[in-house]
Amino acid sequence: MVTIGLLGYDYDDCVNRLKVRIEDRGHNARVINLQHLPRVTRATIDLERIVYDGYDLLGMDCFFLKEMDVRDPFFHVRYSEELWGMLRERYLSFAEEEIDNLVFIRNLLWILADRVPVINHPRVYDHRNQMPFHLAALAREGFAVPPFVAGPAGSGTLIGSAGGSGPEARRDDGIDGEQENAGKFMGPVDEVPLRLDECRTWEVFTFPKGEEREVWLERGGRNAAAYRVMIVGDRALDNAVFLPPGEEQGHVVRRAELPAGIEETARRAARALGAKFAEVELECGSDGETVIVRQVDPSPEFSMLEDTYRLSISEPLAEYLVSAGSQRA
Amino acid sequence: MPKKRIGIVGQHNDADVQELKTEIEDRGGEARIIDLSLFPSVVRATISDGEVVFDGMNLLDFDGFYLRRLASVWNLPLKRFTKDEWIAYYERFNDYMDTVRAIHSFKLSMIRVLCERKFVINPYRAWGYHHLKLHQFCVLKQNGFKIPPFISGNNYFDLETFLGQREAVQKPVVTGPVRMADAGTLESSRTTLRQRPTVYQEFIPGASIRAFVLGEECIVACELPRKKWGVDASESLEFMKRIDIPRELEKELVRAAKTFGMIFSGIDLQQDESSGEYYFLECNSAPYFRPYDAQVDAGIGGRLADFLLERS
Repeated sequence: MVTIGLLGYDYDDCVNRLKVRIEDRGHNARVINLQHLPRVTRATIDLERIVYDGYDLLGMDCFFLKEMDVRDPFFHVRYSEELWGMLRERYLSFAEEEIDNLVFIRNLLWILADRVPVINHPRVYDHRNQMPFHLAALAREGFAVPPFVAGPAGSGTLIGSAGGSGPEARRDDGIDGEQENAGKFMGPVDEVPLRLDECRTWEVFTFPKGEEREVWLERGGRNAAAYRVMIVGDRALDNAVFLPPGEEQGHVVRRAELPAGIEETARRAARALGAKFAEVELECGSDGETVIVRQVDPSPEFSMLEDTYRLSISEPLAEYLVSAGSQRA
Repeated sequence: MPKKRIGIVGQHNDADVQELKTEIEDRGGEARIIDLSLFPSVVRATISDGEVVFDGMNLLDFDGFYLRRLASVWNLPLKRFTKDEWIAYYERFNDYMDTVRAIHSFKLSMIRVLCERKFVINPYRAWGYHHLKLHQFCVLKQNGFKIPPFISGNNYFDLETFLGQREAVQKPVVTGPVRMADAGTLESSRTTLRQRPTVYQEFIPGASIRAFVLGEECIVACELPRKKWGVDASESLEFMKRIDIPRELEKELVRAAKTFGMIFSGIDLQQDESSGEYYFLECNSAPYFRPYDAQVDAGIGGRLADFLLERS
C-alpha cells in the first residue's frame, strides 16, 4: 500500500476525485492544502523531515501538485467605503507576512521534490504562471507555437492572462476590454455584512479575481480545429477532445482518429517541459502538416473535462501516481 | 571589434549596479541598466518569439546580462499604500491584484527568455536559490558540505525542543536581521508563529567570513566583524578585513557555487573557533559587492566586468 499526497485545496473537485480513485485502489491519499499554513496548520522543516500537520511528508511515496500558490488577498465581500479605508493597515501586515509564507512553501516543495516524486515538479508547474516564457520555451524546443506578443495592452485577436490561468476572451468586437471594464468590480460579490472586529486577518483577504489586466499576452487566434490531448506519464490517453474551428465546445475523438502528428507532438511537448501529467492543446497549421502547440498545462482542471466530455482522466492518473509511489516504496 | 553590450538588471540607485556599469564602460564595453521596477508605469516592454524589447532596446541584441535585482517579482504588492492610494482601489483591488500577477509573470518570463538565449550571471535557476535558503541547506548537506543544524516552521514545540538543545540564531525566512535566539525569544514570538514561520540555526561561535566566487576562482575572502545582533547585514556592514583562506577551502567554495549553478556567488561561512572547521551558511546569487570593493579594495566589480565582457 502506498500513500499519495495531494497538494491542493480540499474543496477542489480534481483533488477530491483523485483522492477517491486512489483510495478505491486500496491505497492512501491525503490532501495537503498549503493554504492552511501557517494559520491553521503547523509545519516543521529540518534536515531529516518535513512535518506538515503532524505527518512527515518524506514518509509519503508520491505527490500530485495541483496548486502551488498561497492565498491571494482578494476581497470577497462588498465593503462600505469607510470599512475599506480601515482595512489598509491590515492589508500591509498581511502582505508582509504572506511573503514569508510563500517563500516557506516554495522551500518546502523544492525540498520535497528533491526526495520524493512530485508530479509535476514545481519547476514545471511554474510554466503555468509564466505564459510568455512558456510559449518562448516551446518555440525554443523547436515546436511551432502561435504568434504571440506580451506587453501593455495592444491589438490582437485573442487575449489571455499573462499569468496563464485566466480565461481567454475573444476581442473581435472592437471594444477595448480594459475601458469597458474600467471602474467595475469584477469578481462575484457576496453581500455579507462584515464586522471587522470579528474577522481574523486572513478571513478578510480571500477569493475571487476579476478579469481586468494592464499587461496582456496576445496570441494569434485559433483559426483551425484544435485538439486537447491528455498526457499521463509518457503516453497520451485513449480519448482526446476535438474543438471545431472557432468553437470552445467540442466532442471526444479516439486517439486513433487524431490527425498525423498530433499525439506524437503532444507527447514530445510535455516531455520537453518535463511534464508527467498535462493537457496539451494543439492545432493543425494551415499547410496541413505543421502541428502548432498552443499550450501545455501542467495542472489542468481535469474534473471539468471528465464531466463535460466523459473522459477518463482521474483513473489513469491515479494509476500512474500509485505506480510512481510503488517504485519509491 | 564592436563594443560588447551588457545589460545590468537592477535599479539605477543601486551602488552595485552603478559600480558595475562604470567598470564595464571603463573597459570599453557598453552597459545599460534595465530597471524592471519602471515597468510598466514608466517603461514599455514587449516579449514575442523573436524579440524582447525593453524601453526601445531589443535585449536579444545584447551580449550578456548581470542580474542584480528583479523588482516586484512577488505576486503580492508590498507597496506601502498611502491612504489616498488605498481609497482609490476601493472596489477595484481584485483587478489590481490581477495586474500585479500579470506583471510578475511578464518580468519572470522576460528574464527566463534572456537566460535561455544569452549569457547571464546568474542563470535563472541559480538566481532562484536566492529565496530557497532552506532548500540550500538541504542541498549543501546532501553534497557533503558541513552546515549548522537548522529548523524552520511554526510549530512552537518543535522549535522549543531545538532551542533547548543548542545555542541558536533566529533568521528570517526571506530577509531581515539575524538575532540570537533563546526560549524567551521564542516565547515572545509565539503568537506570530500563526502568521509567519521562522528559521533557527545552530550558532557557531567564531569568525564570520564572506567569500566571493567567480567562475572557477575564489576571488576574495573577507572576515566580517563580530556580528552586531539585530542588524540586517545587507543594510549595515562595518569594517572588515581581507583574509587568506586554505586552498582546499577555495576549491570547496567553487564547488558549492557550482552545486547551485552559480557563476558568481557571495558565500557566507562560519569558522568554528574551537575546531577551526568551516560551516557553510548560504550561497548568495546576487551578493552586494560594493562595500567590499570600497573597504578592502577587493576589485570584485572589475573582475565581474572582465568576466562578463570576456564570456558574453
